[in-house]
Amino acid sequence: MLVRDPELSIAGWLLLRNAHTLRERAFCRTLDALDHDSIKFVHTADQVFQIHPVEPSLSGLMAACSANTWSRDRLANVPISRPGRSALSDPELVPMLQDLADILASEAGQAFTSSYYPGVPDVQMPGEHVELVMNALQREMDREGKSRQRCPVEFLALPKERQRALAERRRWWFQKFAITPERWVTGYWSVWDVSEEALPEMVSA
Amino acid sequence: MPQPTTTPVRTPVEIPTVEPNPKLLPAEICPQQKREMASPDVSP
Repeated sequence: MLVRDPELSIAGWLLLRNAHTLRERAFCRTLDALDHDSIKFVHTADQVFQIHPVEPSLSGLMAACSANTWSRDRLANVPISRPGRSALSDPELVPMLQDLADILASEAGQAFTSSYYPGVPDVQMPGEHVELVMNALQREMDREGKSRQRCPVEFLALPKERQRALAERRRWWFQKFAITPERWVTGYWSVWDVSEEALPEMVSA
Repeated sequence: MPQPTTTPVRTPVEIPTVEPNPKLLPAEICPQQKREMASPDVSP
């Protein structure tokens, strides 16, 4: 990432270069500030946590945060979304979940461009939910198409099996970030439960 | 002897083809809009 995401702190930006897994990347995005022997997180910016890292590495820093009961707990309860910035905007994922947002946008694009786009056999969902997801995806594309004066792709025009595959893959990726339908109801996710897989190739780091 | 007359030749004009504006794809939207498109108000 050559240009810093304005939502990412400088400390998080520097550490992100050394992050290899989705979990490490999510952790870096939660960093608000690193001080002499303490750390602050974006979602609890008024709290300072004393840490004592042993290893001078990203995993060492994560281990130190895990060793502190309070910081471990705060990283286990990160909000999933935040309200839209204006009355016309919809709720959005918190910036700490930017990787998930990038992956989902890439998945949504591939539903239109890939010659082969299978669903996920382990994921089951009713047809109504598939339609709900398609309408939700379309909402933002329509708004952006209007502001750019370009016709957006239409999710409901996709073949039914592709719509279902996209909804299933969306759920599968949410799950990689520890956000299952059950967890989603609580409104919070845990950095510690994010997958230790690498960022997929379809999203450039 | 009369000079042979030549018919003026008009160079055919190439009409540029107008490419239809390609549809806007999700990959083209900005990071903040991608976070909105993830639709966190709709359950996974």
